Amino acid sequence: MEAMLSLPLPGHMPCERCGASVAAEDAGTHTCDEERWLDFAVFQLRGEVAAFGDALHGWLETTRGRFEVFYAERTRTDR
Amino acid sequence: MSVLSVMSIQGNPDELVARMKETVDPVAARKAPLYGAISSTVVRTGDGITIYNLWETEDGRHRMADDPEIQEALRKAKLPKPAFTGYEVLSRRTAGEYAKELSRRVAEEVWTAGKLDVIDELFAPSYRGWTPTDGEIVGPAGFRELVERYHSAFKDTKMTADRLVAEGDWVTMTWTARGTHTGELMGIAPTGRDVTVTGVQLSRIKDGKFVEGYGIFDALGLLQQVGAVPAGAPAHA
Repeated sequence: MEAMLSLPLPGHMPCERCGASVAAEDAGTHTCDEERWLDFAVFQLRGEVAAFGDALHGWLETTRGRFEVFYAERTRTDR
Repeated sequence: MSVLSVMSIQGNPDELVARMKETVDPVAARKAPLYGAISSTVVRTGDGITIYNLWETEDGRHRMADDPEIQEALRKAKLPKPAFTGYEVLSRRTAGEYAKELSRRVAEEVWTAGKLDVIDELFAPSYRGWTPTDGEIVGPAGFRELVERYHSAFKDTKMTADRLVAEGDWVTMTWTARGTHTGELMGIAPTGRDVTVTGVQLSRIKDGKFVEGYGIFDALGLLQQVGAVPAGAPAHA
């Protein structure tokens, strides 16, 4: 037979949107700080951000990538 | 303003103390807290005893002396007339206050400010600690390792000492810690969430340093906050 546990709510829980720790009594009135939200959102995307860097460096090693680097450099020099 | 009363009584010290234990002490033990007594110390002197009584206020000391039950007990004791002197206390620091200060330094300097070198100053080489979540903590190096483990999992860790209670060579601190989960903890990948956790630390102090400790914190709440355990909703067992 399956037993059930009823776990108590902790005194604080992170806001789902911005990740800030919110006291249970403030849960209804919490307002997200935009900077905290941005930090949290970027942290969630850290894997993709790191992967983008790797992918970009890999692409720059391809024939097309090397040409784009050459062309960008030439354009910059021409200015 | 606290006051120190010093009473010297001439006579055989052992007989005087025995008489006081029989007559005055039982009444004083019951009455003294009502009048703001802080401590009472009896010492042997060359010609008798001297009693050092520390009071929260001069008024409390007077009201205790005027208490009918105390006066009756003193009559029964038939003590010689004491020589009395009273002093205003300008500064006082107890072992308990020192113990609280050590605990506060662990929260503020070690956990919050990250001054890990302070650990060697606060913890004896023989230190042994224990927590249900982290097991045995051996020596200052073991405590440093514990702090580093949590600091690597939680960026910007801040700990506040909420309540401090000292008794004898033991001190208890209830604390609240906050941090952002940016590193792996107990195999749980970082979530970027801010967490707030409360706990209790019981420690014994000897020769000015921590020698023994027992800690417990809301590990379930921490796991709920980082999403490793469901929060609030019934969970299957």
